[in-house]
Amino acid sequence: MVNGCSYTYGDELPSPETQRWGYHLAKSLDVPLTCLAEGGSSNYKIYRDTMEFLQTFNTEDITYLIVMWSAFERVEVFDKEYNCDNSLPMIQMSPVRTKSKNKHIRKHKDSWESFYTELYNTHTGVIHTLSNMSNLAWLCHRLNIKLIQTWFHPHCIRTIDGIINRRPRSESEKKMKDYTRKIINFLPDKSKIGFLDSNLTFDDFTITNNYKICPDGHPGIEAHEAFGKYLGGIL
Amino acid sequence: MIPSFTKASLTTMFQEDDYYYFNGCSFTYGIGIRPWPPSEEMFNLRWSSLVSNHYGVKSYNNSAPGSCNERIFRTTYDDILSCDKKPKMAVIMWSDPPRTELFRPQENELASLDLAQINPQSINGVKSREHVEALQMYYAFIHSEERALIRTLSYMVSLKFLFDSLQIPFIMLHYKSNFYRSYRRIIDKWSKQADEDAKVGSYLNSVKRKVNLLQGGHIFGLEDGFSFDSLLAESNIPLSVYSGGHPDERGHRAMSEWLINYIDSNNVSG
Repeated sequence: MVNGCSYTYGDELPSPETQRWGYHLAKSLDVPLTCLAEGGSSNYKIYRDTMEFLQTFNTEDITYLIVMWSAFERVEVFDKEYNCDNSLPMIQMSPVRTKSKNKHIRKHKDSWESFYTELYNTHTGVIHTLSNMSNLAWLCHRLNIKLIQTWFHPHCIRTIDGIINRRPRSESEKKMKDYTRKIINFLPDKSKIGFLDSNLTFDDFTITNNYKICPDGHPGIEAHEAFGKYLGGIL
Repeated sequence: MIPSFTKASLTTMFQEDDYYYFNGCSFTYGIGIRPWPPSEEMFNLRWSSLVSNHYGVKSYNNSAPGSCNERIFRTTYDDILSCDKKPKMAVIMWSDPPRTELFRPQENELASLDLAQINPQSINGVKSREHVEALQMYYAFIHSEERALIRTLSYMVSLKFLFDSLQIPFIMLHYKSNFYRSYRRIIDKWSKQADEDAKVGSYLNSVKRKVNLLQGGHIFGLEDGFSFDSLLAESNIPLSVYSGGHPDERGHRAMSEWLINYIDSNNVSG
């Protein structure tokens, strides 16, 4: 099973189902694929969907689980009117989406701008995501599921690096640094792909290998195919 | 500023001793037993200490006043995974689903916390006017009971799995019946539309799946209205004169007696 955001779904690909990296990885491992990814997913949604999958399905049938975490700033909100195919009616929000034409977001634009300006910050998202990553690593170890965790973009790595390496200016920032470092040290290597010098996030991989990038910034067909094989090598 | 009565890391405590693990909000912390600020006496009289003392084990209570369920879930998972010696039993008292947490170093009221615990009732205590307005807008237009409910259910299921996997006997309950009321309101509100609206149907199915996964455990306040607060009401025990809305020493004693009776009757701790 694979989960993540648009980088895992295969946004901008002509045929995501047969061109996304998850498809190529599953093919190379000769296993069927379940892809839970949706474009724009927040890490809250990714974690919730992954846990629901593990809690609902026979875990003996799950050999591999790859989660590509998304931006720390994304959150989700319940909206009955939200047009979704398979999942719950939860809008996935981020700072750039405050300009979206979505009815709920337009109606509450001021609230969202206020939320991102005054309340929510990356550090909150980092704490929650890292906590969920460590839970998932432990859970998969327990269930004997081979797990890879990575991030879609190197700015996630830079954020974590910054927290760990910056000199804290307050007691709270020191706790943040200690907590982040503790979790990163706890995670096995295959649960921090892109963080270590020896491997890359999907975006880094695409750029480093000069693969074509689609108009809206997503990796193209060749990048997906190559990255699927790259992860297969790691597994 | 909360005095730093030693809350050493769970990884370094209890290397030899048996202990019970507790987590929750102010109803587990002991606010209301004695006047503020917290004291050793207060900690010794809270229900978690009374239960632990009854069974002759140590107590590790990682509750925090105002705690949201995300924090309860996050810290319980972190504590249990990082400790060398697992607890003999865990009791988790969940708080209000609408509460949330944010990294806000500028909020110094509870400096012992890593994340500021935000709940709708405490907004006016926030220092910054801009933050107060932002939080009011958040609770008015962004927060929803539906999201809060499914998040809390997710945390409950995940912790149940953790305890079951590690064979740690556990009890889960709620500090007030708000979770139960929220659950009933949402089921009643959306059930009629579920057949015609696939989105609503998928949400309700997800809620029901999680409730089903929680069956068969020592879990209260899910489809029944039992809570610490309801116990006090049924027993006619008044609330604390030291802190509005919190149980006092008598309330904590009643909660501990109820738990001890339940643990013994159901052989929870094995």
